[in-house]
Amino acid sequence: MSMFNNIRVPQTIAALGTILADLADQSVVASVSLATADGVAIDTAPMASRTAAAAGFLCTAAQQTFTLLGLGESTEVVIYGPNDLFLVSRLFTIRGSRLVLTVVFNQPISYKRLLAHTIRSIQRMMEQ
Amino acid sequence: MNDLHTRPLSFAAEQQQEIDRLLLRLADKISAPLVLVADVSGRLILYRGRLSSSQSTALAALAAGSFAAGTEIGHFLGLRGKNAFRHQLNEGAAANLYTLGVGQELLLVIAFTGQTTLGLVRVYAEQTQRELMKIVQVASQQRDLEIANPTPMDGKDEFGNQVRQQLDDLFSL
Repeated sequence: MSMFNNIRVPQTIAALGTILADLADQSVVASVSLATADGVAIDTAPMASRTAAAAGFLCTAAQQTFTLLGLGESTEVVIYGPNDLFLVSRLFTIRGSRLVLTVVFNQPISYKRLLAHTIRSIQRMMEQ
Repeated sequence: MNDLHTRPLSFAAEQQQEIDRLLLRLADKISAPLVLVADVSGRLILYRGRLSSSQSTALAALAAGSFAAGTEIGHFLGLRGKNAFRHQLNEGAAANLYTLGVGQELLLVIAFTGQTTLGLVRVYAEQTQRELMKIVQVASQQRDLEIANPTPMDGKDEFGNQVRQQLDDLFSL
């Protein structure tokens, strides 16, 4: 149908791609993914849907655990694996919508500042 | 009877401009070829996109019917109130149609292609939904006020009374 011809890639997707690529280009980063908190992919990376679903599952399980223990709201999940590999899923909000940034690191690193910088960039871009 | 059937929501010019601005922003953020706001009975309120006015009117009616069917399926499964279905996604190879409820009376319908992602559509659709809800609440309060304080014309249908009188006169001969 003609109304669906010649649709451009939204600038939002392009800008998000640039922000996430900046993070993915770091030597300590194995992969990056952005999703809604319930596990629907926002970025267009090849494994985005699978990573998004995993992140959504992790964040939901983490929140249920915190609720069960009366610990309030969970904001981050970290899973450590072999060979110094570890995965971080960080929740944040944009105008009331909950998103989750998931990063797999391939060596031990202090990642807080790196994630905070990327999340600020995403928030700035998406809140415009 | 629900207010929707007796007195559908109406929007002042400024409110329509604000809805239009929200639709334009949404369409721009996700490169949507069509975004529209309709009420749940299928009446088109505003649209932005690549369809003609008559096509958009028809789409609003079809989307409302489809959404109502989805809601009824939910009811059939025991999903009511806050558990009722509030989003509907029609997925295809070339394009998708995403419909979500805005309060109890309006629908936001979004067409999008593979150039964007469902996650991004959902984030911006939810933001637009929240902004629309603010406008709906004001319009709804306005309607309640009008119902509580009817203008002299309300309930005094001069033309209707005259026709009724003429018909009575005609048949009483």
